[in-house]
Parts: sequence; structure tokens; C-alpha cells
Amino acid sequence: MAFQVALGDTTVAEVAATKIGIKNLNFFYGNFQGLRNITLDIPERQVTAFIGPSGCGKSTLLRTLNRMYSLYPGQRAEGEINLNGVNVLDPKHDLNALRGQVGMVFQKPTPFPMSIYDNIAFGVKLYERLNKSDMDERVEWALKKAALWTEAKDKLSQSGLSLSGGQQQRLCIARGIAVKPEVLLLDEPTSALDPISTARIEELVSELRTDYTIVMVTHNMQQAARVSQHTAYMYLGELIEFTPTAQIFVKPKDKRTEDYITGRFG
Amino acid sequence: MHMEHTSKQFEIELEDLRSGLLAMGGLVEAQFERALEAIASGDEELVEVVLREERHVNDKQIELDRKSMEIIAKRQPTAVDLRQIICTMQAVNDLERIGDEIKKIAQRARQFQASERFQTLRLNEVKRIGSVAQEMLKESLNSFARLDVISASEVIGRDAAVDGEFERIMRLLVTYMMEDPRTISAGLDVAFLAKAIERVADHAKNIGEYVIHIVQGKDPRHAG
Repeated sequence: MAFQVALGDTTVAEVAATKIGIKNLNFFYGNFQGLRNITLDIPERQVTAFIGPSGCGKSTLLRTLNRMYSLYPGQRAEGEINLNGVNVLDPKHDLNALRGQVGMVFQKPTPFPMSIYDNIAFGVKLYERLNKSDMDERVEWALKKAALWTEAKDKLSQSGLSLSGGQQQRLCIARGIAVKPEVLLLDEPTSALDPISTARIEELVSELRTDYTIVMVTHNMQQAARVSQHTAYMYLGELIEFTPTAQIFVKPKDKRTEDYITGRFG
Repeated sequence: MHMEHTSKQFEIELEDLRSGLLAMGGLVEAQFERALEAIASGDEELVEVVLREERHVNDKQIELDRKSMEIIAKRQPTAVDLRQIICTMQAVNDLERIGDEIKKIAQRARQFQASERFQTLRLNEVKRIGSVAQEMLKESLNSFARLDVISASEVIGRDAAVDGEFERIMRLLVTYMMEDPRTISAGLDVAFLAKAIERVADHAKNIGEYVIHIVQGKDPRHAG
């Protein structure tokens, strides 16, 4: 049975369309090269996990996907990141539209210092003009999607900061999906959470996959094994291996991947 | 083959599992030797030893399965480690089954003592298939110890010869039994004995297949 599931996933992986096509991507922090010639196709409506030791470039790669780096002077990317076939690294590409298409959730929960309701409405207002009832509906929809509605529905006017860590992270995911992006980037979304909250976020990620393309960075390899369909192993700014998850944790192609995931690293 | 784990404790646990399997293999090998010897010599004492020692093989199975489960629960092993642990559990299962076959062999030895007719049925045939199965078992354990794919493949290849030898013994026995119906009872005993030995060789072949699975990550079972 397990083998059938694994095979099934692989088949799905093979037929999935490419959502983000990364081609010959190089990234520089000033003179330091953080990414080296990355070429990688991220499949649509699947979860892709980036794993690797600290400093390997996995977060850097994630941050190029919505050009988060452009906030910082001296950082630049070369190559192509084709989202739906359009190169988002093109300087003429509309950054605001890109951020609407590609949402992001960070390692530490980062709710805005405002009410739960406004945390979600804030982003939506940047992209859409909705009347009160439509906005109410959107907030409810996002909170339900993020599995936070039952816990938050009676305290929508309370500060987002009054929630627990796990709830705050789900609020950030709700905020991320409220603008209806196509891609959701998760940068170690559960590393600051307890096991129960972690399990809820993982469950959520699996559910969101039906609507969104999800790319996540994680230090927790079992998490990558549990929630992703594809796993990329990175080391020193290079992509070492990109393989269906069901395969990489049983029989990785590259010895360096094997040494890392079995805990034989350095 | 691989460098050591960052976690020394994990390394120790895996090594402990590996040496536990080999110790169990050593027990089974010694049992097989005694059982075959008992068949040849009719030594009642040896039969008793085999039946008494069988319990240690069973204890080893329980101990090694428990250790494997503990490592899986504690370490969430992946890749080559995962394959090693799963294949160790399977090899343990095969060794225990070999233990059962050996018990059957020893029990036959006791019956043969009472049967003169058995002696006429050419013990040499049984000796030959027994020693091939013995070599296969030894080689399969060695290949597991060294994770040696080449010797594991040789073990797998030899199983066909044992199957052929078994068929030959069967034909021989049928001939005897047709010629002289008084040999039927003893003939059947020899048939069961040969079958038990042939099964030992099958289990040794399985162990060889696990070695290939561990090292190469591909499952050779049912390949041909």
C-alpha cells in the first residue's frame, strides 16, 4: 500500500505543470555569491521543500521567488525565475503585483500590531476595493482556510498579538492567503512552534496544496518528508538534488544528500 | 562505505544492531551444523542440544526486533540507515525461520535412528545439499557483515543449484519407493528432510537480497 502511495505521488509529480521555472539563477550579497547556477522547476499545486544545512542558500532561494531581497541594497539576482512563464526578475516586472501573486510566511510569527480582523484586511486593501460585507466574508474565508476561524471568530477586534504562537502563525498564513496568491512561500514556518501547533500547520499546508503552489524551507527533515511531494537538497549555494520526496528519504540519488539526511554531515 | 554519523550514539546503536544480527546468524549456523551432524551420525545427544538451543535463536529475534523498533522511534532513520534497519528486521525473520527448519531436521534425525531403511537411502545425497545450504548461509551472513554485493549475488545465484539438487533427490526417492514400497516411509522422511534443507537455502538467498537492497537501494526480490 505504501508503495502504491509513493508511486502515485511520483506519477502526480511527473504530470504536474511547472508553476515556477528557475533557470541559471545566481544570487549575490555584494561580492559573496549566495546561489550558484540554480535550475529547478517547481510544480504547480504541490509542496516543494528546500532542505540543507544553515547557510546553504535555501532561504536565499526562497526570497528570490518574490524578490524579497530587493528591499536590501547590494543584493542582486541574475538568471530567470519564470512565474507562469513570465520572468519576475525582469526589472520592469511589477513588484507589487508579484507580492500579491507570491505570498510569504516567516519563521517567527509576524502579526501586525493591530486587530485580528485588520491583520487580514490590511493586505487585501492594498490590492482590492471591497465593501464591508465582502471584506467580512474574505476575512472569514481566510481564517477558515488557515484553520483559525473557530478560535478567533469571537475576538476579531482583539490584537493579533494576543494570540498564542501557533495561532499567530496561522494568522500570518491567513493573511498570506487572504490576497489570494498563487504561490505561498513558507520560511521555516514551524520552527518556533510546539509539536501540536506544528502538526496543525502541517495539516494546513497539506490542505492548502489543493489550491496553491507551496514552497517551504525547513530544517526539520521529517517535516519535509511528511508534507512535501518534492524535496530539493542544497549545499553551499548549489542545488545538489531535486527528487520526489518519497524517493529522496529512502534512496537519494546523490551521496552528499544521503550523508546529510542520515546525519553524517560534517 | 559511509562516513560516521554526527551522533556517535546513533552510530553505536546501528553497530549494536549489526553485530546482534551476526551473533544470531552465528547461533543459527552452529545449530545447522549440529543438526546435519546428527543426521549423519544419529547422535541423540546432538538432537537434544539443537532442540534446547532453539530458544536462544527465538530470544535473539525478539531482542533484535525490539532494538530495531527503538532506533526507528528514536532516530527516524532515512536512506541507507532506514534500509539497513528494515532489512535487518527481515533478515532476523529469515534466521528465525531457518531456526525452525533446523528444528525439523533435528527431529527427523531422531526418527532416522530407528529406521534402518533410511541408511539404504544414500545419506550422501542429503549431505551434499546440506553442505551447499550451509555454505550459502555462511556466505550470506558474511556478505551482510561486509555489505558485499558481489558475494551476496553469488549466494543468490547458488539457490538455483540447490533447487535443482532438491529436484534430483526427489526423483531418486521416487525411484526407490517404486522399486520397494517398504522404503516409502523412510523415503518420505528423507523428502521432508531435503525440503527443510532446501528452505534454509531459500532464506539464505533472501539475506543476500537484503544486502543488495541496503547497498544499492533497489529491491532485487522477485526480479527473475
